Amino acid sequence: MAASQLHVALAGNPNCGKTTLFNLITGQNGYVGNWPGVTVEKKEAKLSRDKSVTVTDLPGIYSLSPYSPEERVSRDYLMSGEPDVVIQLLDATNLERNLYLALQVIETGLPVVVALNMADLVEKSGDKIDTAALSKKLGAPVVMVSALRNTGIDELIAAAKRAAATKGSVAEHTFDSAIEDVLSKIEAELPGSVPTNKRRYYAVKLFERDNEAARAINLTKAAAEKVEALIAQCEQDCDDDAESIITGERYAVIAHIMDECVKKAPATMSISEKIDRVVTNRILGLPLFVIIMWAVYSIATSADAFGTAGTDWVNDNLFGEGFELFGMAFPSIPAAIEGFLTSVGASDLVSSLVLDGIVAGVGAVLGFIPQMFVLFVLLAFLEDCGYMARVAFVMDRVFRRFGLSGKSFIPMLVSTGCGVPGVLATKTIENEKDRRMTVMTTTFIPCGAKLPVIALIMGALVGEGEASWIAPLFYFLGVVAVIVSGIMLKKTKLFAGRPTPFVMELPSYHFPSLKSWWLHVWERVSAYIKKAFTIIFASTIVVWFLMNFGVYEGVFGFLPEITGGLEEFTEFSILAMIGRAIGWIFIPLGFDSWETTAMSISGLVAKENLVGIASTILAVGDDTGLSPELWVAFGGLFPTAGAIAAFGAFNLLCAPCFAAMGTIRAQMNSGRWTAIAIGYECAFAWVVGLIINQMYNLIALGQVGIWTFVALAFIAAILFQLFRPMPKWAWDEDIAPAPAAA
Amino acid sequence: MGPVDIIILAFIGVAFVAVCVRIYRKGSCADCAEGVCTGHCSSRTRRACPAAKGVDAVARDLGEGVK
Repeated sequence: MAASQLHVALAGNPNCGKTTLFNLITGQNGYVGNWPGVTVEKKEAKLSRDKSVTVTDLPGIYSLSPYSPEERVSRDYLMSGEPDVVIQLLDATNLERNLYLALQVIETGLPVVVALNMADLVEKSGDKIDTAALSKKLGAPVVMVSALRNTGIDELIAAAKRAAATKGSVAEHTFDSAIEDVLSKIEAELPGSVPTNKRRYYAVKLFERDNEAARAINLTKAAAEKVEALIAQCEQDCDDDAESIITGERYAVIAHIMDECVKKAPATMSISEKIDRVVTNRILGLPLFVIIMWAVYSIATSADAFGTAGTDWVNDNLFGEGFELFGMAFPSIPAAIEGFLTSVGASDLVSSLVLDGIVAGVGAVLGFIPQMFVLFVLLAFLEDCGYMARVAFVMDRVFRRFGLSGKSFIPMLVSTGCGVPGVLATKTIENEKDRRMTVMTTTFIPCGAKLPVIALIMGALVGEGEASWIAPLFYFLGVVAVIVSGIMLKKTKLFAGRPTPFVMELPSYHFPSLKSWWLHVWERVSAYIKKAFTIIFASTIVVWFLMNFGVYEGVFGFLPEITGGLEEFTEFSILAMIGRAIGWIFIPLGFDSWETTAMSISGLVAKENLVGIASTILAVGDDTGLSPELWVAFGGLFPTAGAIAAFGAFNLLCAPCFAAMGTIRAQMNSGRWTAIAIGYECAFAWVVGLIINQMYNLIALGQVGIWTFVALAFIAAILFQLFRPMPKWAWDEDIAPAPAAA
Repeated sequence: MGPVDIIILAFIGVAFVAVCVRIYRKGSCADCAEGVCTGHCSSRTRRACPAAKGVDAVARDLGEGVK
């Protein structure tokens, strides 16, 4: 191998400091692209001190099992013959976990140098790592480095160059003698074309029933049958599946290495660990999550909070009476625009379009920006300080009970901002059934756009009274809808199966960097503002047209004119006709007026549009969504508080906006599955609305009717599906691979 | 309907069409509503986009700074 062609692969777990090391040794001047055929980032650059060395930064992975695109590209690259040496970076502060991948990389037979990163932190903690002993145990040179402090890097590069000149590493670790016996028999079945230094690797992979490895070496059918017989016998002897046997053996080797090579300082618990004893506690974790999210939504919508004060200011001044700034009086936006339209002599039609349509609709949505800002500030803080990683861990425990993994919680976390990226993020969930179910349920979580709807419902229910519990209640309605749907669906043939394994690291708690915090908030708030001036703007024009044009006494036209100024002209509008045609569906839910039906339909364009359209329809044009006048007018559309709550539940749980529906279509890649997803969401929302309204009528008003019994029947059916034992066949369906690392 | 009305309506009409074209090209929400990354965002935005990153990368980011 010529010195001018040295290829170094940089491998390691996620968050072990690989990117920091890569940037340090290459000076960041490299090529960034994708690995062929997948959207996994590929980074390649020349060593800044020696341009003859090319460094390829492999994706952060936990094992070489081919379950994720990252693992697949890493393995393919290592086995391609391209790298001359592998720098296996280990987080020395988490040596036990990081050694799992290191053992597998060493098994590949490639020349390997093990770099123990964060050596400074190890020293600080008082732990001692015997690098010489570790090197002997692993069969590869070991170098202590700190990528952050730029120490040990020269030694590492020199060791890599020396290792590249060798024939490769020989794995020194051995498994239990019974397993070794089987592995040597498998090795004997490998084709002669497999090089000596790679025979161990392929024997282990075949033992794990890795079909890709078998294909890579063109294993004959006869040999494959012999290998399968050996594995089956071993599984029977060990009473475990092959993959778990190897996983167990690797961890046994790691435990032995740790005993021999690491001297731990007397254990002291870090602050993060102390907090985690409570936050991730089996009993306290979930209630604590409920309390924290309760506080977040309460603060964002509370009457005394900054967000509400800001929204009130926008409501009372920007869209109300006008305001004073530095001693100068400014008119409100509607007043300024109205003044302009009057001064230029605009007609009633144009004035109505601009003021009652665009300004009322867009203004009602924009009025929520201060509250939205507070909500996103709090959510971004929870994400950036490390708490949301704990929530994923806690929810993994909850989700696994009904067959979903914590991986399905991540899209839900993303969906608190917007459902579209939440649905799109599901693309890397490998198990198709889990992915489909996550796509179907993730939009139950209230996105930012649903906050105005919640505020409107809250205002209509309690007016200006203090009811900070209502907004969190609707958030948890979404969480409960996800859990209930998950339990019910998992017991059906369509979604049965074991949950996908989920490995996630928990960071130390830390105060977020202000830049990253602000970027998180701004991304979400700016998307909301962008929507107000695009999709909301366009839909308010359409709704204004549908509401102001119609047929009166056989004549089609601008209703305020052709009805001769009739106050209830909207009753003859196109929108009223559409609303009445569909409204019967909502009779059992307590709201069947054309106005509420039109609002529900407009919510499909964008959820916050519902508030904008309510403002337009109810002709409280110069008020935003938090105005008491709007609450009163909106509340007047419903016969009871139960019907208002049913309307809220239906609109928060039913099909998401068109954008999210389009995304669901793209993710499902099937018209049938899209119909199932949207149909389920709408049906579930209708049933929840029905139950709320009918139970309110029964309990609060003592009213009983045919729909009361239908609601009771639905309650019984849901409870039956929730509490019946998981069918035996459900666990046998589509069994997902066992975890590669615990 | 006077000339002023026509001018204002034309202005609103152009804005309406521009919004419709934007929605058609870029999607109506988060600029990626077509279900795939259409490449309209800056590379910096794409790198931060949870939709483009996928669940595993989002989970990894949440776990950043592990100790």
